[in-house]
Amino acid sequence: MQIQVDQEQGSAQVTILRISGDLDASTHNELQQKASEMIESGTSNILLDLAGVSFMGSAGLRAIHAITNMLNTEQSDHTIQSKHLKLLNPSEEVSKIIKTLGFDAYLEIHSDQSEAINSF
Amino acid sequence: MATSSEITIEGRLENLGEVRSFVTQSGERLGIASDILTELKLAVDEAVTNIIQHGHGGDTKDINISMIAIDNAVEIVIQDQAPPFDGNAYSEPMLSTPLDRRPYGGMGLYLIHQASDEVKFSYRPGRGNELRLVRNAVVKRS
Repeated sequence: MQIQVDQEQGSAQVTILRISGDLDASTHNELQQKASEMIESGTSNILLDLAGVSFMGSAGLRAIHAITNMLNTEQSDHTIQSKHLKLLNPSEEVSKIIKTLGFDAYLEIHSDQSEAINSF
Repeated sequence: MATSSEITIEGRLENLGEVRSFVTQSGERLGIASDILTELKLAVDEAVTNIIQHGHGGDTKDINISMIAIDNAVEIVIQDQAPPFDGNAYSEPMLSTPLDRRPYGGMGLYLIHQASDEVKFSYRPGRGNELRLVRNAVVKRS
């Protein structure tokens, strides 16, 4: 798995983590660690670009779950979708597991990068 | 005679990709429809991950996986050398609970059940744990 980090300025500053490869139990810690480093250095909005993810299991969702909770500490209403973590372009296969495990209710899924950035 | 495939891997997380490739290639050879094969690949990945992370306790013991086509169904058997594990009773994860109140993990068994029509865990002394998954109506329609 590889993670490319891009910064974009919309109405807010957004860090894009572009993931490629398999997001499974052997790699999910790398994503969680990278996101944790970014948050510790001041990142408050993350867009996860999942277009290059060829496989995602529950370990990948576990990492996304942890990142959501790291970013949402100042969000008072947790029954709505996260204002600080959003997803971009998951494949049909990856979208299915996100929905099967009920994460789509709490995370926005975008198919257009500009729209995603401006939604923060 | 039934068509089957089998693989034995060393129980390391780095070998999960090899496990998924085995399921995909064997499933295609057995004529399993691609959408069902995707679900089965996920189920096997989750099962093997659980064995490596929770069953073997850091040891890299072998894990055997076999796939066999029986009529219009596929049976997948996963055998490991971990201490006895009974996963027959499981509770569904809290899928409608907001993420800040939801416990981490516990999703693997749910995905295994979602992908399978039958799920059975058993243990035989000297042979270890066996997880048997059956999925019906898997063969592609021509």
